[in-house]
Amino acid sequence: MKIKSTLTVLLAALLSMLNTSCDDYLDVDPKGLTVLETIQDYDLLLNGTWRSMFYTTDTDILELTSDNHTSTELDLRPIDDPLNDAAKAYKFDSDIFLSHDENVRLWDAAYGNIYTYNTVINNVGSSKIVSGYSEEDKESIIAEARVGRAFEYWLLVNTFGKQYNEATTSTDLGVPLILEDNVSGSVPARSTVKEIYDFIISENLEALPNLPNRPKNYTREYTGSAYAYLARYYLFMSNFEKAFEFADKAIDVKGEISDFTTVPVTTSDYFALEDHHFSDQYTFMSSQGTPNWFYRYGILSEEMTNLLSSSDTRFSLLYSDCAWQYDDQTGWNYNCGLPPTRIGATLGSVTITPTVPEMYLTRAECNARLSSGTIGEVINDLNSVRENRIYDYTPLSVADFTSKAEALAFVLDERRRETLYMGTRFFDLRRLNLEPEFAKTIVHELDGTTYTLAPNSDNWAFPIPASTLNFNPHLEQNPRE
Amino acid sequence: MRALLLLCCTTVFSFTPHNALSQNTRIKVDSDKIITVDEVFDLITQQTDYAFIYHEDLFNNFPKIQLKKGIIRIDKLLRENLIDNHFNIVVMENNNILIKEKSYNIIQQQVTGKVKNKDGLSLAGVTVFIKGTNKGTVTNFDGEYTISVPNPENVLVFTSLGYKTQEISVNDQSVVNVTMEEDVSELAEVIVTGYQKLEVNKSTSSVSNVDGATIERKGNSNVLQSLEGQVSGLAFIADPNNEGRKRFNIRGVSSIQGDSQPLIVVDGFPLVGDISTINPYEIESVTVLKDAAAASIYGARSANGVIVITTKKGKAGKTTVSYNTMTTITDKPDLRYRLNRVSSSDLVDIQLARVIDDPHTYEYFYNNNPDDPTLRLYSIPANRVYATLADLNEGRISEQEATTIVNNLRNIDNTQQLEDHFLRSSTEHQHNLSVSGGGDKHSYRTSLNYTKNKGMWVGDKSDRIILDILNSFKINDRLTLQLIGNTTLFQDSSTPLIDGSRNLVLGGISSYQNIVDAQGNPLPVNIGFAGNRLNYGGKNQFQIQQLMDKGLFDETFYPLNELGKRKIDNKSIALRIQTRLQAMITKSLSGNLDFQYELGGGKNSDFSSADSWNVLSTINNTAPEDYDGNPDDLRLPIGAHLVETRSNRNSYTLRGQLDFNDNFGDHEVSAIVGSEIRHIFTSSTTTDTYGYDGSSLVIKPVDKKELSQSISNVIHPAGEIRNGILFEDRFGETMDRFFSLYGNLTYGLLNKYILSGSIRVDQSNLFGTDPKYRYKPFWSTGIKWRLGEEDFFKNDLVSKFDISASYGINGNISNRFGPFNIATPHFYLGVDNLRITTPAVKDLRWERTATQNFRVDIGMLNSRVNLSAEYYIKETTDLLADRIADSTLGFPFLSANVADISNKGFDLSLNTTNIQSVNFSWSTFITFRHNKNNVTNAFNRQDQVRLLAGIRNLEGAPANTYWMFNWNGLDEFGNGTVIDSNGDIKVANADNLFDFLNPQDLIPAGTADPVYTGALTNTFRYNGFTLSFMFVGSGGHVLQKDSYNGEYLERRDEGFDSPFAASVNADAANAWQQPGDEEFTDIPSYGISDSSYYNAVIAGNSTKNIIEADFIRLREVILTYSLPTKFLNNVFDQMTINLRGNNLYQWVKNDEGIDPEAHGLGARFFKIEPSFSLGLNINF
Repeated sequence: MKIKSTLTVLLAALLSMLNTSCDDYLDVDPKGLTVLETIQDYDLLLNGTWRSMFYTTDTDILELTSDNHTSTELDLRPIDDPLNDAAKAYKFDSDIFLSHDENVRLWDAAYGNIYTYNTVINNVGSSKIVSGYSEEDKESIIAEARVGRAFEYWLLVNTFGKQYNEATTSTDLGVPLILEDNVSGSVPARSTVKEIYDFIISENLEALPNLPNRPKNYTREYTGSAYAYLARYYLFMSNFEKAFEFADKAIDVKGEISDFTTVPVTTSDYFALEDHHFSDQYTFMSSQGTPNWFYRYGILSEEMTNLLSSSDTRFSLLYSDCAWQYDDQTGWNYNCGLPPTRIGATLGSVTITPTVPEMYLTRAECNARLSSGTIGEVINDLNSVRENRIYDYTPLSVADFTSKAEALAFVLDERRRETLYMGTRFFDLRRLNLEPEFAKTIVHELDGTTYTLAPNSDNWAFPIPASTLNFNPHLEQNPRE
Repeated sequence: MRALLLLCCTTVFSFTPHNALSQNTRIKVDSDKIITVDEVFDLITQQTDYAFIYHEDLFNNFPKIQLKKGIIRIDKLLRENLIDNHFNIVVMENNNILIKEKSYNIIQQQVTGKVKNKDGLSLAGVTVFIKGTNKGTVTNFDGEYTISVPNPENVLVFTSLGYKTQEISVNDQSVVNVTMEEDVSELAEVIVTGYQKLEVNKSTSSVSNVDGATIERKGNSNVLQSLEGQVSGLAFIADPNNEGRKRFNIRGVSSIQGDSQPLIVVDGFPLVGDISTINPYEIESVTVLKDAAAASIYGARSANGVIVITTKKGKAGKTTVSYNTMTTITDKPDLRYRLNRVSSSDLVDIQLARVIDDPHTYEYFYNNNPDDPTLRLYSIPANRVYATLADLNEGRISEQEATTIVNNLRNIDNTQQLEDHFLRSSTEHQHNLSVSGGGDKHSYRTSLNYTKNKGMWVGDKSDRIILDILNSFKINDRLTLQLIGNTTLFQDSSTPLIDGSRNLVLGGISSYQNIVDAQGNPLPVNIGFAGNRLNYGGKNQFQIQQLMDKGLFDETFYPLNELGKRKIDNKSIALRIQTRLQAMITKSLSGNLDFQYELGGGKNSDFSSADSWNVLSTINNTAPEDYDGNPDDLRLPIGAHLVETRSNRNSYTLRGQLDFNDNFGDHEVSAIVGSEIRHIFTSSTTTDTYGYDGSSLVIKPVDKKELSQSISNVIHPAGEIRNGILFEDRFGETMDRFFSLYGNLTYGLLNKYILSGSIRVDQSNLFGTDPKYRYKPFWSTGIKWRLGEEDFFKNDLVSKFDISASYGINGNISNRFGPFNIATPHFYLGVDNLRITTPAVKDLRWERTATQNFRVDIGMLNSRVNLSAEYYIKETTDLLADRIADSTLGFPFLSANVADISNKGFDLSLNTTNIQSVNFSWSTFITFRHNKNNVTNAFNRQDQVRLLAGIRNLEGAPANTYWMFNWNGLDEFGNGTVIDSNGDIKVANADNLFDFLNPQDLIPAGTADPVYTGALTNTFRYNGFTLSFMFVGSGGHVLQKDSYNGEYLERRDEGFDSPFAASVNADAANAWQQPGDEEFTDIPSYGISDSSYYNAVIAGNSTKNIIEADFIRLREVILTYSLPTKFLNNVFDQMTINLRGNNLYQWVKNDEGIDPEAHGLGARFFKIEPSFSLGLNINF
């Protein structure tokens, strides 16, 4: 029958249409989320990798272990709480990160970013090219990701491994080196500190030829930031020639320093000027919102206060002598005339990537340490920083220093002043502990007890967190005192 | 259409009779009824192509025919039950059926007798007729009959619905008494799976049917509600997280991340929109598919069971019109029960005791910051005792005056005032009009439903209009086309007071603050925290004065004046269009091409008027600190605030399917194979507007860039608005596509042995690219043995005995994970970026539910007892759940296939006809479910959540278990104590707070889901009256009662959910006061510091507050009366009056009188109040 055969054909056609066009039919991208496919997806991932430190209040842990701040039991209460890592850090407790299974952001955030970098490095090669991109862009995206990943490893090795020390570095344990993007994979044994440093350095050097000369936007890597990272890495390896070389190159690429003395003086205005604040960084490295600790619990240590003059903008803009204080009789009161504490402004910045002033100070330090350097060169770099930081600045002159050693000590103090709100003091302390003349025992008092952290203490390297060891019992733990 | 022609004997045989009525032609009988033969023919004519030709008077004296609801083959109907022995039936090629009387002689003999059943009860309404004739009668109420028999050779035939037909030779007897034996129904019930229709007898799977009449009778505006008590295995469980909401699940919880709601299918298509688009009066039937054999044909979404709704279709025949109306009134809610707070006098005492140590000044709170400046303003306004003492201390009143004020507070209780002004009885009106009819080639059905609701909160109302249009065309012998359209218009509006959750009425205003004075004039009240962080609650009168002095707005809060100033409106329209083309390709093969398109649009607006407290307070708070009265300096413009979301949704499904049905001797095969594609798209746009003027539609500009960042220099009591104003502007879009292939085969041998199998493959645009997952099918298989049909089994007692078993796999895979990285876009400080939110999980598998089902269906005593019993084992493995992962590899949490849940249980349904006669019947219907659920493998117990207590799915206990601290009474200081995992007693006080934060200390304290659920319905019919009662009950589960747990009472009104100073749970009256009290009270001492919050969390989430939740409720009583036809004067065909009462009585196991069907997590909801309905149904 005619109708019968027509219908059969119709239905058969429909069924086969459904089958053959199925792949096309299903090949539409879901909205509101992105399955990584194109080179642009990977490119945008790099805009989203902020360095691990910025999204964590655990940066407090590093600051609290340093000599910049003084806290009281009220600031850190309840001080006996096993979950209170801030108190444990301040007391240099050996079981920090070990007494509970809570995640440790210092570890998680870094490895979280490493996952993203690994994803980019391993997969961008097979991504689809879309308009505005070419095949060559893949190399540059990989280069940027390698630089970013290396920095995460630098943070990890300087938090959980021993300070790089030429004598022991090939046996000191660093952190596991993970280059795969596989959340179901396995974690290798800890690499040595030397292996991690070798990796970091070679990653940067190999990436350099493919890096752009200008950053894509202020969150991105380029030759300037790679030089600055290298300068810092070499400095922390005590390789001052190389540190000098790359600091010099970084300054060549970007050498301007913002003049804080011309910034409006009220704190809120200062923080509102984001550009001023960011312009000194090689990459965008700042977070919205101050970690709580800084303004709630942090009181500048007496030693640090003495290093800052009242005409120093880094003091006057960021610190106040007023604070909320608790009193058993009257409760909370706003009191002034106290030791200076960081102002609780709404925009804070924990800047842990290299800055332009840091490069000048790195070059100054290298000049002070290297036989090739002169006091004059040291002073030039110091003045370049200080004239932008101190009201009515009188430049330093050669006559101010009797020796290069004296100049070096001044550079280190200047470095401490300049990085005050940047979260790197802990790393510098570790580095300087290798040199007897700068090695320092940190002393904290809390609730009537004195806690000390000696320069040779094992506690300068944080333990591998319990939450990590639960999954990876094969990882060797750091010795703790 | 009645084809009634005069018989012309001589010409009849000139047609070519093939005399074969198709065995596949069936008609549907709506309800049990007794009708004339003529009406039977009408019925057949309406539903089939057949027309009847017979002499007009032929059946005038013939007894009426009893028809039982269901589907019946017409050959059977005509030949066996009706007239075969007395008439010649000739079926002609044009589908006319010729009926001609056989000739016989008439010699009369009077026969009388009595008809009884086996128990000796008289049976009324039994048809008695002389075999081979059309002559007969019906037994009267006493079971007696009288009949004239032509000759002694005649045989009397006794038939009655539900009984086996008996034939008795008269011989010379003048009295013939008969005992009738019950029979199982010959009528075949069908199940509709949405993809095909199958006779229940031929199905191997677990299904339950509910007919449309039952749903209509219940009169609920929501179809699903009417299924309660009708389907064994389907439970309605009060949701402690959502007031007024019920979770319903089939056979327990089998999902951790997703919900356990069944898939709803309407006329063969999964419903994307809301169930409220279904007109409850237009339901033909609802079929619930419970096991894998039934549900796996629906693929990925069917693991929780499927509810298949079939709507009524047009019928050829005369135009019929049906009108229904119903009004329901629900009692006013009981606010006093809900609030369950201490008396004003006790509140005053509590507040007096707590403020003893404070300096009692406004300044104290204004300037002294309890560790967060944003809390500065709390509670002075709400705590009138404190405020009075502050007035005294600051010298504004004398001690005498202070005492008077405080004592006056003791005598005020505003509960009744709040109830009177904010709550009311809720009402619902429903009207439904439907028209259907049609002819040979075309039939139609159109219905219009209007439902109007007035909610229990003053100002809440909703309207719904549903228009259904259905046309069915018979294009030719082989092609039929159905066009179905559904349009639903819905709108509702509510007028919450400040905040959507009505917290101000529900405890935010202290009991000692009246809202109206003696003359009924609105009074201002002092409130604590309210609204959002922009307006931070009530300011005291001095702050308000300061604002007004600056030229800002008066924030004095008058609850009654505020009512209606905030209005939330929802409007939506939903369209559903279906076309179904069916083609008979051969006698046994048909092809179907179905298409459904759904379109939905909605507008949701949240409006606060320019003079509402919300807006005034927000404008005040964001004003610059040095505001000097110039409105230009205001950061937010004067005008209304409007947040509006417009959304739309469209989806389509296209399906091609081949159906095969045929018999080969003893073999019967029915099979389907098909393919479908689905596309679902949704989008929404939200705009957030300040300075809105509804009449001129002018919007004043707002600097959203500035205001969405932290704002300092504001009047806001915190001195800044941290992180700015959260503007809600956004876009949303989703698009999902699916492709499926499916097939189903049923094979029957001798109508005794049935074997079935089904298979389905699903793919979507998100299920990943790995073929390993892509082509993994769902499948099922089942067998059935109709033991009752075996010759060796056949007996008089048991007429039906079916045994069936099935096994199958359903599954699910989240379309939010996969073997690929999923990133979400962000825009941050001027830079677009992507962040990986879900990493590629390479070993991700389907969630897999394997269901075994064993079923027995037994019919006894002529179908007067029908029992169906099922036992099932449902093992869900590889459930996706968050697990703690190794952060070293990138993510501290991952979704992975880590959890297993098992459900075991039985479903019973028992239907008995206890008394059956023409005028009176009594039947009983029982459903019962027992479900044992266990999470066998789940989520690492070492959760990151510090306080894990609550309803969780953790290993070693049923799903939705309350994991609680193990309460051990109070210590000698009034602190709560609990026993930890080591058996040590731990004291919940601030000093050792952190000792409690160990998840291992939690114990399973019972599940929130009932272990057993049952319903008992008794239905009595007497003439036109039908009365039914339905009791429902659940048990074996627990609830977390509300109590006072030691919360901090001193200063804050931190969120109204916590019984802080404004409202304190009644249990606080029994709180520990002095050493020794711990002997007789479990209520901790009053909280004295911030950290009491944690103590209260521990005591509150302890076994102290866990009580049994068993209950029995008289869910409904329905009385209907169908007016006798003689009263209707032929104007109407039928008129039925319907009276209904819901929730008239309940029994609860707990001593507190808490309604387990309306209780939150440690908080009371409004208990379920009785409701009454009056309805009318007219057909003409």
